Amino acid sequence: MSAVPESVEFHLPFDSSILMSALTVGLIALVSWVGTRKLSMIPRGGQNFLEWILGIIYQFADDMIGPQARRYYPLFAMLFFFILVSNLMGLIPGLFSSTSRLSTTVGLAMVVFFSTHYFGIKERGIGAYIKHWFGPVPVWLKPFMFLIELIGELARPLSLSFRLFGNILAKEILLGVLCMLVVIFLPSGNIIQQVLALVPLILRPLIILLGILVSIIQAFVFMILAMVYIGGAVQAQEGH
Amino acid sequence: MIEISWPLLLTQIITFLIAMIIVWKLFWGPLTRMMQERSRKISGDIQRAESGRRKIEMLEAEYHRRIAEIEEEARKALNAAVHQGNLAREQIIQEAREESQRILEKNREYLAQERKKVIGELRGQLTDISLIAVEKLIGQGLEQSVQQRLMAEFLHEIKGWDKAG
Repeated sequence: MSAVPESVEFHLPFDSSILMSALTVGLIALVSWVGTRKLSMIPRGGQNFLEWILGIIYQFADDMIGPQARRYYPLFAMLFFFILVSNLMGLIPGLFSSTSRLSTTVGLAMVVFFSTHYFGIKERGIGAYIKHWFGPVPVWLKPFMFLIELIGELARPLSLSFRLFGNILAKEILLGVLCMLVVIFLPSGNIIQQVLALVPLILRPLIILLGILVSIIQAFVFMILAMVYIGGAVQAQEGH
Repeated sequence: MIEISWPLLLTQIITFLIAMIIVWKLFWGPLTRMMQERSRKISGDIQRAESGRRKIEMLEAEYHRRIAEIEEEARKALNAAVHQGNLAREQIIQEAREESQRILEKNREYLAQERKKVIGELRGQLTDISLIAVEKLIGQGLEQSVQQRLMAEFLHEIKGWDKAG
């Protein structure tokens, strides 16, 4: 059962967030197809738009990770687009964000978590990778260091998933409550309640604008943190 | 409300990963390769343009150097030609001067000879004319000794003319 008061019940044999995720992926595929069906060295239209966004993502990845960042471009790009489109879908009446489900955000955080360690071991070797968990400290401090690192590593997916989930769920609940207030107050016949219905009616578009901003920021933050984690894992400096 | 459904979580992870692979293979991968290719091309073009600019600058410097050399050579050649011309002019003037001097000398000699010759001829003719005139004036009565004395005086005077002339 959803925490968000959905205006549309989909009556599916599976969780409707899977449908939302599928819609998200379909929308991403559609936009990507439109943007890449006539690839040209001189970009225009949809290709220009796609290149602009991908260029920003790649630039951030290169700045944070270095030349080897291009191996992780698909993950970063998909994280950004999936979260962004999913977040924005919650602003369309009748739909909701699959990122307003904890299972989705934890799933995405798990992808980042396992990718981080997989790429870290692959780049540096399992010995060097485990060694960096004990840090550049005296031997007697190493177990404590390991414990701290372990807590830090486990906290990452928690913070990633709950931050995204909390922001998007809050946005959706707020929009849903405002919508319900309008639905309850407007047909009540009481003049005071009808006047009061104007408040959520005016507030809702403003919250939608705020929701767009939150959607972009959250997608961006999730992607940037994924870059930071993976960058820290694959780079050979001590202390990461 | 805040709960995790593990089947849903796994489904979302699988959906995400499959979508990532498909979208990357079909759309973003080719687009990214094109972006990288364009970036390489632009980078190559910039390098080529930079190299061309350097080459042009070198050629320009070489051109200016050659122009300066040619101008220097031309200036030297002109100076040499002027110098040679001056020498030739001097020589020609000198030769002309010598030639004229030679011609003058030759003409002077010729004139002197001619003069002598003319004077000699004139002297002979004058002698004859004088004798004829004297004979006509004083008749045939003069003696041979007087005739000779008169003749000697006359010739002496003529020599005096010759010197004065």
